Amino acid sequence: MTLLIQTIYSGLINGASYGLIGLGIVLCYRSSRVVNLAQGESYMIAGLITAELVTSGFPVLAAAVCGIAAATVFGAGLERLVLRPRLSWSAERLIILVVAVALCAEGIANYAAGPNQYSFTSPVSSGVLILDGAVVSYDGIVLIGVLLVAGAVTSWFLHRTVLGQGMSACAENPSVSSLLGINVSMMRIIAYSVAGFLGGLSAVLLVPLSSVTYDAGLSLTLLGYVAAALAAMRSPLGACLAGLVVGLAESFLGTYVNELLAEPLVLGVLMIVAVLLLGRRIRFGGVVRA
Amino acid sequence: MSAKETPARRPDTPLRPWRGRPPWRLAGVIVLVASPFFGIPSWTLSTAVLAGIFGLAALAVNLLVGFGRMVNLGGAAFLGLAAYGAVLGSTQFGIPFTLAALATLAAAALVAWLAGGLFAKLPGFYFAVAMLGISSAIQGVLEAFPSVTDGDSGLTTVRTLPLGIVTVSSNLAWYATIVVITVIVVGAVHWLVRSSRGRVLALVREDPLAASVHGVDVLHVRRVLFTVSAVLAALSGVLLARWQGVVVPQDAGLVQSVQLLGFAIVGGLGSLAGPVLGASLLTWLSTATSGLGNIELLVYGLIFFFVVAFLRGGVAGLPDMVRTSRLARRLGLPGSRTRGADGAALPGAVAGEAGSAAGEPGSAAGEAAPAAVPVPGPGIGPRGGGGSGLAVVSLSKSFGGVRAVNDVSLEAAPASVTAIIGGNGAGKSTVLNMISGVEPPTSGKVIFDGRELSAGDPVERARLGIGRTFQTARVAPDLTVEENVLAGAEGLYGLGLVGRSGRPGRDLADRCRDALRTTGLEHIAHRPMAEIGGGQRKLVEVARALALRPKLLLMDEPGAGLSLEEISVLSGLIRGLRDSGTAVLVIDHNLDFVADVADRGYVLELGQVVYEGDVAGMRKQVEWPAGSAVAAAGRGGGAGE
Repeated sequence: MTLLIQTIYSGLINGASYGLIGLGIVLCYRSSRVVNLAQGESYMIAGLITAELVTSGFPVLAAAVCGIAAATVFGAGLERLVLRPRLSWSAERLIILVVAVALCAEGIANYAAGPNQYSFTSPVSSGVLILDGAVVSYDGIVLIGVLLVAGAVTSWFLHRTVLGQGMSACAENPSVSSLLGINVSMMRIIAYSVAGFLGGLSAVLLVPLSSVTYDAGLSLTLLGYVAAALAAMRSPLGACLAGLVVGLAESFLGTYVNELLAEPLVLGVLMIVAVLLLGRRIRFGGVVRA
Repeated sequence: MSAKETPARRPDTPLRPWRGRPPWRLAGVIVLVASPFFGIPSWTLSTAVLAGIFGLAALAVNLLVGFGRMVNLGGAAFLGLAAYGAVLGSTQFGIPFTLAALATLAAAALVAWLAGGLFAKLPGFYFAVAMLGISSAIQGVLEAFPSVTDGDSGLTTVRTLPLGIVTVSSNLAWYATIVVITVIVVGAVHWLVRSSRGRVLALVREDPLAASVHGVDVLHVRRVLFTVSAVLAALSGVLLARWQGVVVPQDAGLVQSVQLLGFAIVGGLGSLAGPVLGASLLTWLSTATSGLGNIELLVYGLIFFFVVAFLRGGVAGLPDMVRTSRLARRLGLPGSRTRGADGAALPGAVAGEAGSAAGEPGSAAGEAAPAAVPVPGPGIGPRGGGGSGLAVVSLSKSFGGVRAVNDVSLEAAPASVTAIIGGNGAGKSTVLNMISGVEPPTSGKVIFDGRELSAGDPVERARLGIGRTFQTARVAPDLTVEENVLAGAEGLYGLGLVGRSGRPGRDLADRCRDALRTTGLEHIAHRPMAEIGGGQRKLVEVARALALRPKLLLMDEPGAGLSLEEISVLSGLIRGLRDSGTAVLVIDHNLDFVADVADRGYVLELGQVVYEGDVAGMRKQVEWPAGSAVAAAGRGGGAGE
């Protein structure tokens, strides 16, 4: 029983970070039709900066705010400085460009922080709950709560507000949207900033329970992408729940099958399922309409 | 402008890097091959061998990304698997290395062919991310079975390469071997992606839909590319294992995959020498900076970013970029010219030509018209004779809850022009898409020459002799006018690799020339598509369809966007086709154009046929006053154009 609860709990908190990253990917995709493979880097940036600031004597809460702010700025900068000047590029070239940005971010982190693992004490609470012998920290519960709230709020924003519906319209047809009076650039920069903010938030809550290294971003992006793809790159709440499912699958495979095999299995199998679910409807390499 | 002023055999404007001058390229190859002996720091024989091996893998990635526009973020997957396969085969199971290596390559081909069936249909980033996931999954699996793979520490093997009678062991021998293999592989890939196959690939890459209505099995082509690429990556993996004497799980992983893509991009996508250059440059850089420790990744990332963001053609595209730069043009350097594809201002002679072609469409078409009208060349008529034409029986299509087309039945007989007109949203395009196999119908049948066509299969239709054009021309902007026409016709012959083969031959070239002459495009045959205006693009599409010698030609709003002169060329052409026995089905909302060419027609309203009969009756139906949507569209379209 203890093992089961522990497995579920660790699956849920890891899944919450996948969900938040997946949510960011969905937001970026819905506003710009770009798959943001640098989304995980916002997690890494916030985690490392918070850890560095705490080490140099900042109060943990102030450090966390700085870390989240840096991640938000990273998201906004990615949109404003890298993507916006290249609106006319094909989706394929943009993917490679975003990967290049992710590599640069990792390069800077590696230069500044080296290959070490970093962590810090939680800015929320370091208290734990003992459930039938299993250790459940308040931090983790907050993280799961944040995920669900973020998913619900984003979902409400995209589907129920004029601003949010405008955001989806931007991606469908930027020029017509701007003719209709929607501020396309503003929409995109909001989406990317929020995505960065969510990545930073998940770092501040999850890193105290584990650790962060300079190369944490890309593998997190991949699992986040699986979550986003399972939600058809559309539904924010779906991405959050899919993130939890991915986390649980990984955790159960790790505990009961083979610890080393858990991540590759989850990645491989879920990736194929997600991609085939999406790809089924698409013919002629994505060009369907004549 | 007439054909006399512009010689028909004007030398090609070399828009593509592969059209460089051979002596220069040969000199470049010799310098590159000899470079390890120049004493450049860190560029030793052993670095060069590693670079050559990576160059093969980068070429494999480039084949997919550059030539097929399938972004491969998992290029290391097959490399790593093959490396493990060959080493396990020869050390654990005691199979002779050469045999193990060949078996590995064969297995890679088989696995890739099967997996290709699944992945080749994924568009854009779905493919990219799927490959990325698979590559990191394979790394994980290799780490997870330490009893077989020795986990993180990897498998060791001997650092020699037994090749039948000789065994390669010294650095020099390795280098020579790698150079020979690279030359052979580059030659083979060159054979694969140039000339007629290159044109078909360009069409598949630029517009898969246009390719498929011209009989190109797009998925098959992608699958072939995927398989060839996998075998190349596997070859690179086998060599890498023997050269390093060890294979580790990271060889199959994420970082390696991104690195391979980096080689291909830094070198220049879509270029043959590029991946080898890129691999050499970056391998050298990484050897030279390996003492830098923490900063290595940053240097790598910045170079990667810089090339992706600012150097479109990579290192191999640099000479081209220099030639097309503003500075080179201002200095008047020989060979400086425009980057036509980017729509930059056209300098010198080219500008003059473009001006007279685009600026005076009247004179161009005016003179072309008498020559072009109505007698199509002998190659233009339909293949075979007779046939019973097209019959559509109770075709319906629903999108979600909306019934866009409802129980439409119609016929198009040989040697006649049939028109379908209707306003926006009447379902015209959907009907045409279902007939041409671009969209499967919800219910109903399409019968051609007495044979029921399978739903949603444009390739079958092209083979049976059904051609089509699109509302907005779908062409490959990188190719010339003539190449576009050729590519369409060559599509029918498949890629000539696996399955159907056959050389298009002289007959095809003649047919294309006929088609260009008939459409009055002969004088611009060698101009890159990017310089051609919208109206002429549509005529290029017509020429491309004609080169297939269709028995049935489907035309989607052929008159829209054409000048009056171009319309008269088009009308003459359509009549000529009818007289040679072709069935022509035209959809339009412009009644004036349709009334001029059609023998009979249908009026479509809200997805249903509301009139069927001769043109005079059609006009009456359309101009019926009371609130008819078609009437408004018909008059509006007529007045607007």
